[in-house]
Amino acid sequence: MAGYQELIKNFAKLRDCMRDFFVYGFKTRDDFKFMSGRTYDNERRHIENFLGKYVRWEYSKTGKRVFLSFNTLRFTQNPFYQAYLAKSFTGNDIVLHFYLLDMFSTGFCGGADAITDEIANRYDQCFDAQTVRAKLLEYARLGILLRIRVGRSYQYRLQDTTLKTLFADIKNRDDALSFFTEVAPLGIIGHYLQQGNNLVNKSFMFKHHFIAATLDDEIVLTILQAMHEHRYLQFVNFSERVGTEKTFVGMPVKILVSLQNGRRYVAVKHGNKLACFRLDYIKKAKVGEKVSGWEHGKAWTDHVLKQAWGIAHAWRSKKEKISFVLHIDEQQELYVLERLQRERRTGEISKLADNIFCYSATVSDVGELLPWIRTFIGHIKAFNCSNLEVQKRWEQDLQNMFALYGGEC
Amino acid sequence: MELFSEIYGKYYKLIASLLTKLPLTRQEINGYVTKEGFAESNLYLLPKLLDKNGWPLLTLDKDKYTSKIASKVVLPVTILEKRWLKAICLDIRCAIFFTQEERTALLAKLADVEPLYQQADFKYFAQCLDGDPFADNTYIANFRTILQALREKRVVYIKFVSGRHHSNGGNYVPLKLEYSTKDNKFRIYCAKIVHSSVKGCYIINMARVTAAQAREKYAKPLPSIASYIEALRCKQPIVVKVSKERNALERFMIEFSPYEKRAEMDEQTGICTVKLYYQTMDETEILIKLLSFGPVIEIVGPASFVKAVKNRIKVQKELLF
Repeated sequence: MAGYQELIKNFAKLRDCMRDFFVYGFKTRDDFKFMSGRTYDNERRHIENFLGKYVRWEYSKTGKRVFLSFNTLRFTQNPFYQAYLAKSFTGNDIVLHFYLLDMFSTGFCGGADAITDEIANRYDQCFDAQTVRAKLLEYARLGILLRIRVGRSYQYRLQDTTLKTLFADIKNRDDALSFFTEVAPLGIIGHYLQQGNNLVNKSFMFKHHFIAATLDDEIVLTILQAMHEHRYLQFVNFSERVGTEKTFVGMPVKILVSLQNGRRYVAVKHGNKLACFRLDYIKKAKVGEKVSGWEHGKAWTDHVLKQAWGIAHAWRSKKEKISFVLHIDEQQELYVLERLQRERRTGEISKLADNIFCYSATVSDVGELLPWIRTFIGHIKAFNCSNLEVQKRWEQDLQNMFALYGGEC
Repeated sequence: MELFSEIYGKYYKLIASLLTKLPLTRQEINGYVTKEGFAESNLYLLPKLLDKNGWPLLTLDKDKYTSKIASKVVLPVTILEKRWLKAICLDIRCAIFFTQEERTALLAKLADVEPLYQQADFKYFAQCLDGDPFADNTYIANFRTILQALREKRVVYIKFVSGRHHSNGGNYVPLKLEYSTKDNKFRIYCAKIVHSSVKGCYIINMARVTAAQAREKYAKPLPSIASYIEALRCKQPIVVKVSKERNALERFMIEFSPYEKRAEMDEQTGICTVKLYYQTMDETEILIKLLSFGPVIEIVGPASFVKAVKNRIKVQKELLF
């Protein structure tokens, strides 16, 4: 069996391990049941290697806990991006990379055979013509080289777009890149551009920053491809509840992002149903066959999602009503009313009397509002909803909180 | 299109940059790899780079290594990168950085690719409805003035409306701009300048700035943002016991993942004790976030924080009964 290598071929194992170290932080080696002890040791070593200064460990009764701990406000750059810089490659890959870019940057242009000969002349190294041809094709596909048809063959030359030529005379380029690298979807690509051009973020820091989301970016890219090409998505989903993996095929319609807790989902239409799958539970994904009737399915799902208050039950088409009355001192607690306004999502607010306000909404699952409504504890005068089970849960939870904290200072 | 690719990797970047610095001795190359590589890159990269059977990129000439690569290797912008750049160009927030002319010129240069994503591909939940007005001309002008002042370490006169709706103004040097996707807002961390001296650090909401005028460069030392953040760190962490009921443990850990924390699981009870470190100015935000979990968590310390929770519960009880 091959030993430990610094670079990695497959992102998947590292992805799971990194997330567990960061999000949970209480697991010991024995808790990583889905991988062997040896694999755990290798992945832990990778994490220490890439994120050394953030790795902490403590001993408890159950063993050594290794975890990542940091205040994300201190970052100017997402530390998980480091893992994306560790892809393994072969000797031929790297040698050809530098030989080809060296040759092409002097203005060289030619076909695969001529290039193979030129490499032998310039660098005294013989490569198989097929190997060179494959690398040229790969680089043309990536956009590094231009492939031009000349008669019955192809010639290659360097594509000359650089960040400098794209952004000539645009003075806020570096700051824009720094900003979007952290906040835009697939920000890792911005990080690649920053790395390649020796740029660092000097201006921004980020709050409510769910940095672990980037670990799912390969899945996001596949979903986007399927959506844009109107194709099915075939993916392997891990069920945390059952502890098993299952393959699904469906029409991906949207990526749903909760800014409250950082979880991301893909909304997938399957037959007449809409389901949401968490991206961190999707182990593998690939683009499938073309979807017939894409526009019709998309219009239907957009309509369903428009009425969703939260993600977990966004797929439900049934509607439930909820309302609660708040006591807010308009002189002293205006900030509470302002928060209600900015966080209300699809709900409506009405003033019933001086210092008394009512929030009401019609949503697919009233239960999803409970955590948010609890943030107004200390102001709630009344609560009503059309789902009796949720009504009961609300009352019981409140009683339990009274019991827990005594209701006394 | 591959996202995880060696062409963007640390080794490729490190070697491209190293080649421009040659000739160097083995020891100097070792030092460079230590500085620029991963923690263990010396072990894995150096033999490939320097040994006889390694990659034929360098030549040993007496005791120094020279490069077989004659030119400075520059990787062009790839299609994946172009598509991402086009996507961010179409983002409404792009207007705060680039003028309409700049965006038009950039989009023309990216005409041969499709944007990697569109805003409509995503739906964001729980984003505040009163986000910053990124399309407003006054906001854009103020943002750019403040951003430039930050870059140039320049004093800027900022006129703003406070949280209590009072009009204020003064000279400040911006230190950092903080952005929250959830709030969809920028806040300016800045040093207040009175008679050419720093008189404390302040935080101003960008959207509350009504005017910003750049002034002279500030030559004296400024407070470090890291020490300012450190100074605002809580003295004692909040201690919370989290149960597994209703998947609370997972929900809690993910929701509080941006915060520094220590967690320990009691296997016998299935209760996880979490110590949560936070910025003191965020105390109320943390408190209401914790309340949102209801009875599946229990806040047990510090005493002052528990008292604040109990106070809220007491008021709530009085409102209902």
